[in-house]
Amino acid sequence: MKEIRLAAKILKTLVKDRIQYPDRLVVDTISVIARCGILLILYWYVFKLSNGVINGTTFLFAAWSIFFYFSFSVLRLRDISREIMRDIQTGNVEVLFSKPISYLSYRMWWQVGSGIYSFVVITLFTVAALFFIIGFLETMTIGIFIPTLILTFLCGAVLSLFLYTIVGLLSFWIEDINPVFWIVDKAVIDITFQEWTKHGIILG
Amino acid sequence: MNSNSITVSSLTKKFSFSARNASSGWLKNLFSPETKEIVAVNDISFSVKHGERIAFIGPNGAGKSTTIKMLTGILFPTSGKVNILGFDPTKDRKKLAYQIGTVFGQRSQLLPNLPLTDSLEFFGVMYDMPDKEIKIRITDLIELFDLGSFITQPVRKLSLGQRMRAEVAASLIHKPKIILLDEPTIGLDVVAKKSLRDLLLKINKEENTTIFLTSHDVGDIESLCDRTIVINHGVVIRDLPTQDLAKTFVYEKYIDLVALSNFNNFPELPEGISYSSKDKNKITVVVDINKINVQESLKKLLDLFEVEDIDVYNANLETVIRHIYERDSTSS
Repeated sequence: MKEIRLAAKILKTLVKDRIQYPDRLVVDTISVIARCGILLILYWYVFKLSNGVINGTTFLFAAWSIFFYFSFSVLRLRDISREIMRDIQTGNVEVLFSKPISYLSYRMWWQVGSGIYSFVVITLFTVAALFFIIGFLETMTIGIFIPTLILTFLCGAVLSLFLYTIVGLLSFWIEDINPVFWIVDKAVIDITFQEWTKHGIILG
Repeated sequence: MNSNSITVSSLTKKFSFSARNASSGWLKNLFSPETKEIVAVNDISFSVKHGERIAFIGPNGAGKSTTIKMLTGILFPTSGKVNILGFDPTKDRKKLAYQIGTVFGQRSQLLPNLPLTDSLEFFGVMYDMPDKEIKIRITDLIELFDLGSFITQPVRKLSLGQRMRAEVAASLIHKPKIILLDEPTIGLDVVAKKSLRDLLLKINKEENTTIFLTSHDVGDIESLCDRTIVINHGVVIRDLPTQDLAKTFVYEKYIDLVALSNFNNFPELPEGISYSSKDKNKITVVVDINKINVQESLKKLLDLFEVEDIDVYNANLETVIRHIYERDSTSS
C-alpha cells in the first residue's frame, strides 16, 4: 500500500512539476514533430512511388507504427541508466539510500513520472492530428485494440526499465556506462528485427 | 531501557581495489590485477546517549563519512557492530530510516522546481505519514524554522541559507529521534550559520533529537555540540566534552603584549617561547608550558619589552583541533 501511495505521489508531483515548467513538453513536442513528421513525409513519398504498398505493408500501417514507436520514446525510459549513473557519480544514491524506500523502485517510478505528462499530451494530440490527416487503420477500430496497445506499452515499459536499470547499475563497477548503453541499445534493435525473434514471439 | 541512541563497537571498514603494477605486463594487469586494501575505519567504538549533541570531526579522509554511511546502513562494515535505536543498520536499513533524518550539506534532497510545501509533502508520503499528520507537521515546521516567507517559492529560487533551513526541516518531517548532519553550514554566511545552529539547538531542546554532526567549522562544534569525537586515519583519537577539548590538550598558552609606545626591535626569545605574530603595536607569543611556565614566561617577557597591557589566553578551538590533527599525523 505504501509503495502504491509513494508511486502515485511521485507521478503526481512530477506531473505538477512538468505543468508548472512546460519547457520539456515543448522540447518533446518539437522533437516528435521533427523526427516523426520528417520520417512520415519520406515514407509517404516512398509508398507513393510503390503504389501505396511495400512488402504487403500499407503506408497507413507504417505511419501508425512509426508514431507509436515515437510516442513510446517520449517516456524516455531508457534514460534510467544515465539517471542511475548520475546518482552514483554525484552521491545522490546515498541520500536516497538513507530514506525508507527501495531505490530501484523509486528510480523507476521517477523515470515514468518524468515522461508521463509529455507522453499523454503528445500521444493524445498526435493521435487526433494523424486521424484527421491520414485516418485510422481498420484494426484500430476493433474493441480489443486499445487494451492490447496499453498492454503492449506496459510490457515495453517493464522490459525497458528492467534492461536499462541493469545497464545503469553497472555504474557501481565501471565509471562511465555510456559505451555499454549504446551497445545494449543497438543490440536491442538488432534482436527485435531478427526473424527468430518474430518466430519466438509468435510461438510464445 | 537502553539510554544510548547509538552504540558502535569495534567498527572496521576496509576497501579493496585493483591497482596497476607497473612491473607487470598489461595482460597480467587486466586479468590478474594486484589488489590493494585501505582501512577507512579501524576498530572504532563509541556510544551516544539520547538527546546528546555530538561533533564527529576529523581532517579530510579521516573516515567520518564512511562511519556515517555505516551508521545509516548505506555501507556494510567489514567487521564490528552498530546498534542504532535497537536496529542493526545492515539488516534493518528501511526500519531505521523511519527513525533518523539525514542532511548532506552539499547535496539537496528537495524538489528544485516546486514550492517547498511540495517537497515537505513528498517526504511525508515517503515516510508513510497520514495526510492529516503531514499537514500538521508542515505547519509546525513552518513555525519552528520560520519558513513562512518563502514556503510558496520554488526551491531553486531560495538563497543558500533558506535552502539549508528547508533541508533540515525536510529531514525532520517524520520527527526522527536522531539527525545526522554532514557539513550542514558549508558555504553559509555568518548570519545563516547562526540561524541554522540556533534552530538545531531548538529542535534538540524541544524534541530531544540526538544530533550527530560532522563539520570543519569550529563555530558549529563550539556552539552546537556538547561532546566531540575526533577521528583521524580511521581511528578515534579523542572523545571528550567539547568544553574540555581546549583545556585538556592545550600545552600552549598565548600571550598578547600591547606596546607602551612602539616595539622597535624583536629580540630572540627564551626557550619555550616563540613569536606568533609581531608588529609595532602588538606582539603575540606562544608559550610551550611543558618547557616554561606562564609566570616565568611573563617575567622574561617583561624584562624584554615595555608593555601597556598583557593578555594571557588558551589557544582557540580551531588551533587546538589543528594541533590534534597535526600531532596525530606526526605520531602515526
